[in-house]
Amino acid sequence: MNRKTAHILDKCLKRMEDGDSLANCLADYPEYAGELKPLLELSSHIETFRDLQPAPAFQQFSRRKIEQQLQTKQESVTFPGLIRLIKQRRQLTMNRRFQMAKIIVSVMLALAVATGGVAYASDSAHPGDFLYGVDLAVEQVQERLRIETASRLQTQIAHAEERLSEAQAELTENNLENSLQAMNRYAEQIANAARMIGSEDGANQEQLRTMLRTALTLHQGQVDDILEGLPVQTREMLHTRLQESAGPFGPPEEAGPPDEAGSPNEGGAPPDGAGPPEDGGPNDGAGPHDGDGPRDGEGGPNDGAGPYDGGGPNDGTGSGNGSGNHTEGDTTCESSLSEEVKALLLDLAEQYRGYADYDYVLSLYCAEGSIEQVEAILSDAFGPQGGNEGGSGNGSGGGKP
Amino acid sequence: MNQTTKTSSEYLSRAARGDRRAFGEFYELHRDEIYRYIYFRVSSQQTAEDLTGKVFLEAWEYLQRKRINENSIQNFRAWMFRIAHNKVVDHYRSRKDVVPFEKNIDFLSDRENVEHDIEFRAAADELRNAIQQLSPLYQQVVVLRFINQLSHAEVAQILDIREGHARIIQYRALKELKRYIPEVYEP
Repeated sequence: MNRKTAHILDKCLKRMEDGDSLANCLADYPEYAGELKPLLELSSHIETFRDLQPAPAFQQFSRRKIEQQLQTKQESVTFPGLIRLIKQRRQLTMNRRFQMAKIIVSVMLALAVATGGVAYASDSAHPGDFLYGVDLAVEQVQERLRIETASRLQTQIAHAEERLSEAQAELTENNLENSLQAMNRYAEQIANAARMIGSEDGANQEQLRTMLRTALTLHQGQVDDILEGLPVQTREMLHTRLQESAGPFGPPEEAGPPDEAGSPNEGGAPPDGAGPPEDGGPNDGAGPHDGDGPRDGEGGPNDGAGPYDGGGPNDGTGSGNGSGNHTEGDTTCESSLSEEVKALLLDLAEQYRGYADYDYVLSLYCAEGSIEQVEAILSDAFGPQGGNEGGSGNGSGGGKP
Repeated sequence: MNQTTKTSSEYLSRAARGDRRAFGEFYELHRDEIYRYIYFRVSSQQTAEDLTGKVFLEAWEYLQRKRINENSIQNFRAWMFRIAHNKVVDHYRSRKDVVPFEKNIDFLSDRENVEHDIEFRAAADELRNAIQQLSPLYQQVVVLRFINQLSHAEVAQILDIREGHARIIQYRALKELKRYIPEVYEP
């Protein structure tokens, strides 16, 4: 019976798709009409959502974002690739590079401490645009979704590179204010990366530290150009801050004085040695489906594999282990928190709901060590209202104190 | 092979050789259908958008890592929906709930259409909630058939079942779905 009813249902669906009416079809199968009518009406209702569209912002900007991410995947920041590249570059200009690397790392950290911001970035809008803040928040969410730390660091570095490009583009247009804004974002991105690394332990931290340093060294030519274009006073201010705050992620030796912000990087060609992610990179094999999922392979097109075969490489974005965003460092940190601090962090996560979840707020607290600093970072990043105007549900009214 | 399929296959062939722009075109052509599929299977618009991006990034990664022939590329649609399904599974495994950004996005809507959009979204949300009461297999059949407008043959290919089975599941899924939203369809 089921099979026959299913068959007639299908026939009616086909007829309706071809323009026939529901009534006509039911008239041809009166003994089934009672059962089929509500099902056919339901199917018509579902079909009204065939044209459901993503939100306008997604339609407008997502392609560009995707293409940029593809570029990032192709061109940047695999750890082995970076190491290989930096070795090649060092052969060319080793002494000067090393000196400049120290300066740039220090400058960036100085900037970061001065601005005290959280990593955010934009690629759909330019500094000064209305949408810039929205896109920064979107990117930050994207970063938080990266469970695996190295992968997250890669994303942060890639976003920092976007900021750098924006700063240079704005400078070319003589928009100093926007350029400075983008540089601040860059610094914040780097600072956030540094904070994240700070919460890692041991060998992992050392690898991440090298990765960040290497990336900063690669950025240096572009940074030099930008600094040269900024007013002298701004540069001096940055220099002062640099002296104050090189921090634990600075170069291994004491930074020398800035040489008038350095000179442009003659060897600043794009990293031609960089290619697609390589085997053995930091993301390989770290995903949730290794050995425990229903998938049985990577399942390319038409490979005759089953329905769970469609997945390509694991991108490290899932966890599958219920661990959420917690890093090991965060877990240790969290276990030492008082109930009062946890409650405050929960309040903050609620207040900034949509922008910062509890895990993220926790990671900020573990890196910063004070509620006030976490609040300042969230406020800098998302504004004093935290983007949750509807109230937090905890009696705080949703606004920041 | 219709024109869209032919064009998509050509874009994928170029993308497999590293052409990002071609992949961007492919994305433009298929973004919405993948989005719709995911939308009805997760809990928020933002999550659907986020996972949609991930589906395409994964497809790109696959194209770069594997040599695939033209014939294989022609079955891209089934392949894309399978990746989408896997992303939905990943999402529920990792239990990531991304709170939507609709507030921001509303600024971008044409204000004259906002009311209509809100009603449409509300109805879509209602349907989505009902669909999610179904088993994953039933969900897939309903969405692939009635939202994505795939044929039984395509659904069967994606789910690795026989066409006849897909037809039966369609009937059973509609019957069950009717239980969760009966009031809308009373005569």
